[in-house]
Amino acid sequence: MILAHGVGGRADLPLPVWLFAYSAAFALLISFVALRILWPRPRLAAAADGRPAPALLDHVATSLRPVAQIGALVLFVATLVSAWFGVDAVADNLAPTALYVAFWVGVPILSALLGDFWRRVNPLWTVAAVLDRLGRRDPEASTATGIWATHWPAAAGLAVFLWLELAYHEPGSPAVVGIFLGAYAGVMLVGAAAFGAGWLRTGDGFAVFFSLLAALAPLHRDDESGRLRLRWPGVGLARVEPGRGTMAVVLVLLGGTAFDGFSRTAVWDDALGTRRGWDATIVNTAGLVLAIGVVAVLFLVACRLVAILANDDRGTLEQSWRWVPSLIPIVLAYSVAHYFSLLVFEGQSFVALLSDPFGEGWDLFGTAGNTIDYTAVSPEFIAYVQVAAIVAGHVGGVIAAHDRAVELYPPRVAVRSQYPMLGVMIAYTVGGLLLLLNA
Amino acid sequence: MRHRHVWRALVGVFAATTLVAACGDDTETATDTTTTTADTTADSTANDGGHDHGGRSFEAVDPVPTVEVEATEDAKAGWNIHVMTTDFTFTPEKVNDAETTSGEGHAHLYVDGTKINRLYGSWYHLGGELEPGEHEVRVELNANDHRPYVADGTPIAATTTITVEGDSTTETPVDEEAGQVIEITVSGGEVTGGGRHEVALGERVTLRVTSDIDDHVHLHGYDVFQDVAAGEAAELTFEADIPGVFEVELEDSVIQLVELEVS
Repeated sequence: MILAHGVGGRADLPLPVWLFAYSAAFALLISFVALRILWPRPRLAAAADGRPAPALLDHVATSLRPVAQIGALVLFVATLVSAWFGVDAVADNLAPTALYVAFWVGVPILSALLGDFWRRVNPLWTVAAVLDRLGRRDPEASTATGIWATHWPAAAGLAVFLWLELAYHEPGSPAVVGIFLGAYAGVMLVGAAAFGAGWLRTGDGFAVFFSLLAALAPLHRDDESGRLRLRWPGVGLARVEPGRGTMAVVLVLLGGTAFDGFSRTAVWDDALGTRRGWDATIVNTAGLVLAIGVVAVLFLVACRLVAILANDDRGTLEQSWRWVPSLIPIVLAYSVAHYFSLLVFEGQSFVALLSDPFGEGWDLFGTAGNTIDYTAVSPEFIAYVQVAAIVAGHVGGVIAAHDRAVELYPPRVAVRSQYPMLGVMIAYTVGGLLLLLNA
Repeated sequence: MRHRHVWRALVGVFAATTLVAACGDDTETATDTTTTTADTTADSTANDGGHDHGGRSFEAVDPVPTVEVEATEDAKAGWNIHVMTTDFTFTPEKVNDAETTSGEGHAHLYVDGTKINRLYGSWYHLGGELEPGEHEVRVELNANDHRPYVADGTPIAATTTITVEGDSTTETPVDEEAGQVIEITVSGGEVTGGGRHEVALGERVTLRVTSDIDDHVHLHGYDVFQDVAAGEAAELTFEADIPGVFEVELEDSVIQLVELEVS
C-alpha cells in the first residue's frame, strides 16, 4: 500500500529470485510430503483446548484488560477528532496512520499472537456494552435474525474498508478517514442498538477478522471458566465454526491483500496508465473485484473438486465452508508479507504522532520529534520475514485442511480429496511469492 | 624622442607590458607633462583592466585617510558591505570636479576585480546572484575626479573575502557530482522517462525534471522536495542511502514520475 503523500512512502524491494525459487519449491515439496506423513485421524480439535496458562499470566492479562479497553477507546476518539478537526496532511495527522498501520496491520498480528483480545478491547463494543447495561440488556446477547445474524454484514464492512484503502484515490486524506470511521462506527452502533452489543461479534467485520486470526494464537480463554489457556499455535483452527458469510469475509480479505500486491506490479502500472482521481478509482475497483473473484473462484472450484473426489453430495457452498479455516493462516501470511515493513517503519511514525495527535505542537510522550529510522531492519530481513510468513501460512493451511479432511472422510478418501485443496493452496502461495518477486 | 618611440611600440604590441611599465613609476609620470601620448594610452589601459594607474593617482597628504571593509550576509538576500574610513569624507556633491582636497572623495567597489559601483557613503547592499564559492570584495578610495588615492605609492584600499553558500564543491563540476542522472519530462500529464529505475545503495542520484506546469517534485520516503517551474528543468540531487522502492511524484498534480528501486 502506498498512501499518497506520506503514509507508506517506502515500498519493499522485490524478492530475490533465488529466495523465491527456494521457498516456492519448499512449499510444493511440503505439500506432497504432508499427504504421506500427516496423521490419519483428526488431532487439532483435541489439542485446541490446550492446558491452563500460568496463573500469573492470567492475572496480568486480566488486569491489563480494563487498561487496554480504556486506552483503545481514548485512541479511537483521538483518531476521530484528529481526522475531523486535525491538520489536513497525511503525514502530520494521527488518523491515517492510526487506521491503516496501527489498527489494520498491528491488531491482526497482535490477535494472532495474543488471542482474541479485541473481543473486549473493541471501542465500539465498549460503547455498545455500556449502552446495553444502561438499558438493562445483556451485552453478550444478540437478537439479530436472518442475514443480520450471519457474517455477511461483516464481509460488506470489510469490503468497503478494502475499497477505501486499495481502490479509492485518496485513501490517506484525514477527511476521508474521518468520514469512513464515523460512518462505520455509526452503522455498527445502530446495529448494536437494534440487536444488542453482542451483534458486533458477527456484524463488525474487523472484530470478525481479528477473532478468526485469534484461532492461530497460542493463548485463548476458556468459554465456560473464562480462564486463560495455552496451546500450540494454529491448533485453534479446528474450533473455528464458519457460518454463512464467513467464507466471504476470508475471501474478501485474501483477495484484497492479493490486489494490494498486484497493484504494486508493473503490470498494473501499465493497466492504470495515466489515469488519476476517480478514473483511477474505477480501474482499481475493477482490479479489486477481479482479485477477490479470482481468489474466490479458485477456492470454490477446489472445494467442488474435493466434494467430487470424496463422493460428498452436500452442496458446493455448504461444504466449502468446511475448508474456510484452512485459509486463515494464508490470510495472516499475506498480511504479514505485505505489511510487515509498513508496521516497522510507519509504526515509528505512529509513535511520534501519538505524542501530538492533533497537530497542536504537543509532546505528550516525548516522541513527537521522532523520525522514521529506515535502517531499523534491513531489506534482507524483510525479505526473510515475507518468505517465512508465506511458507508458514502455506504449511498451516495444508495441515488445517488435512485435519479437516480426515475428520470428514475415511483416511484413504481424505488423502485423495486433498489434491484440489493442495492445488489451490500452492496457487495462493506461489501467487503470493510471485507478487513479492514483482513488487 | 627615441625613448617615446620605443614606448609607443610597446603599447601597440603588448598592452599588458605597457600597463606594468606605466605602473612602475607613478609619481614621476604624474608630474611629467611631456609624455602625453603615453599618458593617454596608459589611461585607457587602466580603465580596461580596472587597475589603478600611477599616472592618474591622487597622493594623499597628512592626515592620510584609511579604509577598512566588512561584509556580512544579509538575512534575506545578498551581502551588506560596510566601508569604514578615517580622515575621509564622502563628497558626492563634488564628484567629477577636477579639484580634490585630500580627505574627500568617494569610493569604488570591486568584486573579483570587476568594478560594481561607485560608493557615496559607508554602506552598500551587494545584491544579485553570486556563484557559490569565495569572492574578493575590494573597496578603493578615489578623488573627485576618480583618481585612486595613494599614500607613499600604495593605493588606499581594503579587501575582504565573502563565501557564498551553496557548496561550490558539489555544484561546480556538475557532471561528476550529479551522479546517476535520471531525465524525466512531463507534458500534458504524460511522463517521458518514467517507470522503475534501479539505483545502487549509497549512490548519488540526480532527478532532472522538466514539466509544462508549475509543481513540486516529491521523493517519498526520503521526503525531499524540489520546486519545478513550467518549462524549466529542476534538479533534485540526493544520496540514495535508504533501501527500498520509492515513488517520485509531482505533488500537486499527483502524477507519478518514476519509481526508484534502491538496493
